[in-house]
Amino acid sequence: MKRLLAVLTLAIGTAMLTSSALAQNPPTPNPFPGAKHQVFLYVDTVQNSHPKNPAVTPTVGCSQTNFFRRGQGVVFRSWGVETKTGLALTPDNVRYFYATIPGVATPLKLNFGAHGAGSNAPWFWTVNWDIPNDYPLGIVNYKLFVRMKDGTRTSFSQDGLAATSRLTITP
Amino acid sequence: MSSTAHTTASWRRKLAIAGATLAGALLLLPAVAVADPKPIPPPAIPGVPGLAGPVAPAAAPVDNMGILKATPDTAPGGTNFTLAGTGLAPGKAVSITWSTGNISYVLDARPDTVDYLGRSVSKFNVVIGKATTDSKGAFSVSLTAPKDFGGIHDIYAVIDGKQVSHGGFLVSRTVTISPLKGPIGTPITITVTGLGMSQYESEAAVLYDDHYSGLIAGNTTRGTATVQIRAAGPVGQHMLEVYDASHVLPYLNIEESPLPWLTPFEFGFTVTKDAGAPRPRVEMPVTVQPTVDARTTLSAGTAAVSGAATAKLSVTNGSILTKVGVTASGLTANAPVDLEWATVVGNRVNCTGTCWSSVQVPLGKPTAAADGSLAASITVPDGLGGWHAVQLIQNGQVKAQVPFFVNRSFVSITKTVKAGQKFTIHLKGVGWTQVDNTLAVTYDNSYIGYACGFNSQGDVTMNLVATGAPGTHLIDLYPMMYTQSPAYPFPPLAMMPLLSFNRDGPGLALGYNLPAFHLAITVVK
Repeated sequence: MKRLLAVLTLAIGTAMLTSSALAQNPPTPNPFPGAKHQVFLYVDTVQNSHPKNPAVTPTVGCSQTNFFRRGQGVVFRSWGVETKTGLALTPDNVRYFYATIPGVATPLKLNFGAHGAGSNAPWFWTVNWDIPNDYPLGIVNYKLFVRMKDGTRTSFSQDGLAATSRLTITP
Repeated sequence: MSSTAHTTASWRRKLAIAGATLAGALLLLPAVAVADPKPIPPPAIPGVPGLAGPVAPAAAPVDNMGILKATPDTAPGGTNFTLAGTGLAPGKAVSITWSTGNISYVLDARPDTVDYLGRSVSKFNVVIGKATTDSKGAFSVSLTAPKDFGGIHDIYAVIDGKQVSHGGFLVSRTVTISPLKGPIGTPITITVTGLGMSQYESEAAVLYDDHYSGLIAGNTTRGTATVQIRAAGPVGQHMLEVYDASHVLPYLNIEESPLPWLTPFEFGFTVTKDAGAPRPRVEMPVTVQPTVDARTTLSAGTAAVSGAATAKLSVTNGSILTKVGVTASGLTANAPVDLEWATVVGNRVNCTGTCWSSVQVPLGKPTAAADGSLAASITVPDGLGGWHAVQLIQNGQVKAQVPFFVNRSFVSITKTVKAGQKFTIHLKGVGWTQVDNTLAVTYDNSYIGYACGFNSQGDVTMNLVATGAPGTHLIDLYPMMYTQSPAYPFPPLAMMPLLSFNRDGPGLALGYNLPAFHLAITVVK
């Protein structure tokens, strides 16, 4: 019996066919050129190294994340470029730059400054938000607003990002 | 069930089947590999909570969004809570929405195999309550947290189609076990709620005295699972821990992760005595109606089936060597009918591409009656388990075909063995797809490896070494998702004992009713 099966297996083994790996459809590319914008913003969030609640001090400060515990500080960071001039967004060309956060009555003003040690420390826009200990869990639908001195306005929101990539408050 | 559920087939029968198989091999058909992975609708599983409300219409967030206060905002599903909002427009109807979703397993069901690619999550909001704002634009409403997947659920107050306020509720995980003491072999039921939707929240791993016992998931059961392991010796106190797991392994310091609330659950279990080896037991999954008709070995498409013949089997599932009646009508009258068993031969070892082929095994050659009918009998071959087709062929054309599911069956286990010596476990009817080609093996609740039945045509003969002190030792065989050859990126539940096979098995939607086998040996000096 075993010998018969062995012969059978060998015979069939020589006749085996291979097939291509799983075929997957590529994603539909965005049209090029895309929509034109006058201001380009990069935005992320990092952990405040010294939150008001020391119990939730992050192991590594200034680390990028979208998950924050109540009592931690969210540092909104942004870099921007005025596309028609190629100039970085600085107080020289920005009239105001602020963040709105649900439940926070007064918009938070972003400041432009150097971050890090040394003379070559990068400059960018930041503002800290201390998360109240009773702030709702889940996604924070924050927005950033910029108005340039020439009157141009732009904003940033998390629209289009996956839920798991948005700023999220955890216990 | 006795420890010799199948008597070994006679030598003559083996030879006959081998000969038939060899003859069938001459009818080699090309392997068909049509890659079409897709989420498979989960079957209706008894006791699984439904959606907490109707799916909410799409709503866009407003720029100046407010917040909602949920009290409490962290509790198991089913807990009552109060939701309050302020600063809204007065006298407005408010719809309360809750973020949730559905999870399906992603399978590629083809005529020659089934590939397992993981799971697919679809997210949406459902309406869980209504309220009306007062003259000051405030509202407060009492709600019950849905019995839903664990994790954070976003809650929105929707007015006039806009999300105007946001709150959140964390459905926390619960784990209970029962009983807390008993002799060796006592089934310990572990009940889990609040398994989440995200990859890192969707699994739990069981440790028994710090040995990995298996994996629990609740993807198609809305985050709930009820599983069993057995109390392993020696007599005395043991620890059972249920950890959050992400990619099948326990996340041992989850407290330092972005999901710090998923802390482990620890239980003590007292083994009271060794009452001797319990009898072999087969634990079947819940009975469900498959949601997809695709079955392996059925000829692809109706074009393969010619004529208007129809056929029926007296039973549509059974173990190897089961006698099955075949009836048919609409056949060519007074013409011979080749009854053939559609199966495959091959393996997945050192395999690139598809290293197996479809074959036809002759089951008999009766003649159709003058009215085109047929009444015959076949014997299920001693071969691979899983879905096969019985085909009725006349003049080289498949006139009808009927699927048949070959159940896994337990044959034998050595009852008594000296420590350090080998003992043998014998099974039949193990399949070949990524859903059913392997079993994961635990020894005294410690995962030790897997066994595969593909290359050996459904036969699994394991020669294991007995270890431990004299007395009863447990061997449990669980369904396992085999995720190699081909391998896909990080499918969950891969290559581990799937304790939640009974209600959340990825193959259930395709009719793969795969059991666990609970066995035992007695180790002697």
